Amino acid sequence: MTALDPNIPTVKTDRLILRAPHADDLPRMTAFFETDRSHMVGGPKSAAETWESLIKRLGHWTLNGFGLWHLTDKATGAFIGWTGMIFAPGWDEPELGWTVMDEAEGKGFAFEAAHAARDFAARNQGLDGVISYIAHANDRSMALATRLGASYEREGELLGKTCQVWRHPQVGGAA
Amino acid sequence: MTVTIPTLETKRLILRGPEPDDYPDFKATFTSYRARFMGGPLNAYESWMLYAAEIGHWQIRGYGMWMIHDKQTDETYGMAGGWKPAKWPEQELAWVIWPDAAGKGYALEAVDAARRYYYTQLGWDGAVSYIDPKNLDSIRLAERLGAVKDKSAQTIDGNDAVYRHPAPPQLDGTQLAHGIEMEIGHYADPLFKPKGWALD
Repeated sequence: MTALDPNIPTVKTDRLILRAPHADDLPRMTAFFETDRSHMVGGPKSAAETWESLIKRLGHWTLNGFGLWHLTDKATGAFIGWTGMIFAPGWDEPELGWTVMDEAEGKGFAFEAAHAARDFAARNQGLDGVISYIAHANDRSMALATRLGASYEREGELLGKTCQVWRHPQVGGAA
Repeated sequence: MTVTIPTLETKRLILRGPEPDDYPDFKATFTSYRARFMGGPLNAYESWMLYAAEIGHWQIRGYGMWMIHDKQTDETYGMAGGWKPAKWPEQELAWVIWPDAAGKGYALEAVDAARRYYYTQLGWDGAVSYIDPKNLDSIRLAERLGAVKDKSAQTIDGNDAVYRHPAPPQLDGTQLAHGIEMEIGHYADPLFKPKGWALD
């Protein structure tokens, strides 16, 4: 027997639960990736490609020991987005990423989730002072990165597309 | 969310879940020309993500592709098992053998064990293999396993041929099952290799 345990921890904030990606999230994920809204985070994708993204997120946790959490709104129980650390061939270093579905925008959920994820990664995953790749046109993500205390570092490239590299401050975890 | 992956043991092989340490072997094949019938060659990112998908598939489906290990040395020879991404019309029995390990009957032995597991333990009533029509080695293996080309079955994207595996009753004490067992036996123990057999 091989115990396949991606060991995805659950992290709670005031209003959110950061937890493992789940097949129940697929309908909302699929709807998101079918729209143009996803074009700055690797979309658009077909339903089949979104399914593959979900299983890749799970395998990412097993291979790296960290990865993307899916976000549950405590008040409604709804799946509203994802955040966490991403690292694969082509990445200069592990990246903090975030995406919030449009119905949950404008409530500070992305800030709350990304802040918690960054904190957890620094304290428990040995990842501190990390980067975020941000598409040039993604003003909202730049604004959020600024609110998180990150700052523009340099131009970069990810999977053949140019983008900006932002650097987060050291959280000073126990790593 | 812990998924326990069963270990299958055959005459020469142990099939275990894919582990992070096995990735370099996987990558060597999938970034090479060897992967030309499986959507490759892949770049480093695609290869890593496909391996992540192999692992995630187990967690979502409860079954997936095992890593094929030599029972004695533990070295890996390839992967085999059940595979059903979202766009697959039916559940597939799939396999890939690293180039250095080809021609030794490992895929036959591994897929036979995987198929028996799905039929007897998971209650599958059949399976198909989606194969590039140019992939003659895999077509030949499908046929040795008793699979037959099903021209009426739905393909993945029109570029693949569908080989339908025998249903469980067709493998229960039949001549076909005996023939497969014999062929595996001959690979495992060459002393019993009779003259005139087509072994590749």
